[in-house]
Amino acid sequence: MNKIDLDNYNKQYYLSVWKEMLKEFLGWSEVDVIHWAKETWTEEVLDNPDDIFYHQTPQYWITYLLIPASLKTRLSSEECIEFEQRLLLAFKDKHHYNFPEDTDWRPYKARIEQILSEYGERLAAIPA
Amino acid sequence: MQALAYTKSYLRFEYEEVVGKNMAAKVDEWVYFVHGTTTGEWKSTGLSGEIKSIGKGDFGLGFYTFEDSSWGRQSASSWANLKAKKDGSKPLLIRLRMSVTDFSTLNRKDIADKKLAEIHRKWYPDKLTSFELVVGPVAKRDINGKRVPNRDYPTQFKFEGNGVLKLTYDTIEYLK
Repeated sequence: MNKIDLDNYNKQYYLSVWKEMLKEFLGWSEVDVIHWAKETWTEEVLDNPDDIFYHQTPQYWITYLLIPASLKTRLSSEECIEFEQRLLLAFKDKHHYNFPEDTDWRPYKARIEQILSEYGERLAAIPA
Repeated sequence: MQALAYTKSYLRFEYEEVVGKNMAAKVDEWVYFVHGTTTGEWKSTGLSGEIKSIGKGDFGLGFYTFEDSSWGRQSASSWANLKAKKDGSKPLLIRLRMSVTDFSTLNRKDIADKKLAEIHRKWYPDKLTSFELVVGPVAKRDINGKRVPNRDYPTQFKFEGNGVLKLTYDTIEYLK
């Protein structure tokens, strides 16, 4: 692994996981994901492997995206935070710190859909 | 930056008027901490009243802060800004204080660098430690996935249980 790879191992992992997750969960293309990542988090943050951003997992930073707008309007801010915590638990297994490249995201999606269904909601494709 | 008052200055002035400057000096014996959050999250905990220890991190469930230094404020502000981008709310910097007497008598646990991985396995993300204060480095994962200190950030102070109850609001700043 060369110096550039070492410097960007966090960025590479997060982008890779986001591309797979958001494609499965929200129907985003790779271009959508890269655009969202750069617009939301900035390259300055993403390019620093020691940024506190990487203190949290990739899934932590997307849970809010997974809550349909119609549900957000029904939840109080406290309920929304609790709901995000529930969504995070849907990812919790032996891989949740380091998802392998060939991860099958369908079981995670099913768990998320199950949680949303309790509120009469489902994952909704949203524009990036 | 817009700061909401809870500043101690006028309290100190009144105190000086009543008991004199020598006694007033003792009022100032505080240690200060900063906590980065968002309007969305803080709304759920309340802008006044009880400080809720709902943070989940390296040292389990608790209220995570940095010492109120330039580095600590910068780090807490960075964290607040990231969280605000996540949910589209506004970043906040909460400043809190604790009397030196209370701080020095907390049931405290200091985490050595080499214990980070073990502590993480034991307490992360939401276990209670039974310590009122846990102090140690912010962790990061190295390229092998091992948890090591992140020297880009100052020591974190995590309050729990009675440790949280001894914290007092000082100021709330809305960050740009």
